[in-house]
Amino acid sequence: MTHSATVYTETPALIDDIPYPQHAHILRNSFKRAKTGLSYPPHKVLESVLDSDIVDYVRNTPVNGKTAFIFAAGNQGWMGTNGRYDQSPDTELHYKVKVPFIVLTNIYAGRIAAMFGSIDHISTDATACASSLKVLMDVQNLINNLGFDRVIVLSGEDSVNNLTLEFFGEAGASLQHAEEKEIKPSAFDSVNRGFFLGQGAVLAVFEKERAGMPKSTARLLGAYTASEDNNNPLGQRADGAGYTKAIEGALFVAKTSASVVELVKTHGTGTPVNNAAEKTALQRTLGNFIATSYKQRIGHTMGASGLLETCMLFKDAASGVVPAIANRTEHDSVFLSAPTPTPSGLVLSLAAGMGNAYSAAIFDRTGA
Amino acid sequence: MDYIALFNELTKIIKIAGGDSCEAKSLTDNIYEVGLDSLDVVMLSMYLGEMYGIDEEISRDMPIGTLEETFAFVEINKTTEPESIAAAIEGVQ
Repeated sequence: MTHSATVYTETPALIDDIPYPQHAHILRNSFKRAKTGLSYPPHKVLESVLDSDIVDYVRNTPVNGKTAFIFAAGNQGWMGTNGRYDQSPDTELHYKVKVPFIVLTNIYAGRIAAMFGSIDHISTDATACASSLKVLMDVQNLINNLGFDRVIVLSGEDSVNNLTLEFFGEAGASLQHAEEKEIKPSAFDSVNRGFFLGQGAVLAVFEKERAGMPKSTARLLGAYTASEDNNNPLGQRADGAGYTKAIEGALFVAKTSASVVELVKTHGTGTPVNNAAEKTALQRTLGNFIATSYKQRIGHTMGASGLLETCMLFKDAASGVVPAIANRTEHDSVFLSAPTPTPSGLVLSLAAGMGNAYSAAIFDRTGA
Repeated sequence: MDYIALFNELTKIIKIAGGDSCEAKSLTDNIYEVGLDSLDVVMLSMYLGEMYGIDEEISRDMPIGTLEETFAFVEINKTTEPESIAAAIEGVQ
């Protein structure tokens, strides 16, 4: 990965004009004029991550092979209003969509891809909250097998709105304001749990290794997405089968053993089912490792979360310190309750998506 | 209102996700030939409708040929007028 840019906010705002009041990490500027139906908040967030230096680099630094653009579009909800939820146009996160075909994700992907110059492949992914890590399977396939020298990945979520907040609230998936009297967002903790939703976006450029290429942040060694034997597409098996298969698949592709993975960026939503599944899988598949989670800092940015949080981890790891999982109430040297020096081994990043998708990606930060 | 300048400022919003902005130099310039595509012109009619208070049902009939034709339609059907180009752009962003 030669270039990356991220957008997120660490400041949650209370959204209390909906039936399930809760905090959310909202980039308020993206909702300016949203009620006119002409300004689409997800696009405002995505376009804010289009770093001009990165765009210029891609346009002005041709590669010998082909270039691809992948839009990891998360849940692809592109919804403005819904008859059951979001009944009031006066609520903060209500917005209209006056020009629906502008927001159709592959049309949008084509429009963004055009900014980067000549593109040989454009595609869109909808693997929910695993989207931005799932597409790394596509990145490695394009570069390793199909003659591509460069793949641009843009990821953002178009479902941070009243409908999603209310759906998550109704399902008990996101932390509700009423619960905050007693608990705070955290993961792998016996007291604190859960997450707020968050807006966020990430742009990354992956390139085939060549002489004279820019210094990379990390090398993608292997990526894999798996599913588990589960009839409930919203559930997760306590035995972590989905995560296990994804991790083992990524290790297989990376042609490396689990023992050299020492740092894990967890999916870390902090729900009881994910705590059980992810912890079980990691303890089963890896040797000595430390793990952190970013959702407590920036909210759950859903489709963008996997790659966005990975970039955040690279930045933190480069500083020499892996941050703790926020709001832990008990000492834990593995699922970190305190900041810890960066280990030297490989990095494993995990993400899971509704619909039974589990993604794992392994990176090497050596030489970064 | 300098319609050429307004148009050129609008294309910067319209084209942000579609590449470089376009620049018209004359009211006789054809909007498509300046560089807007079929999705862009839909956005153009929506933005102008919003700026000049033109009902959606009416703005659907906005001719997209030369700038002159488009803004003549706006002049006939407008119910409000932005104070300036800056105010017009601010009102839709």
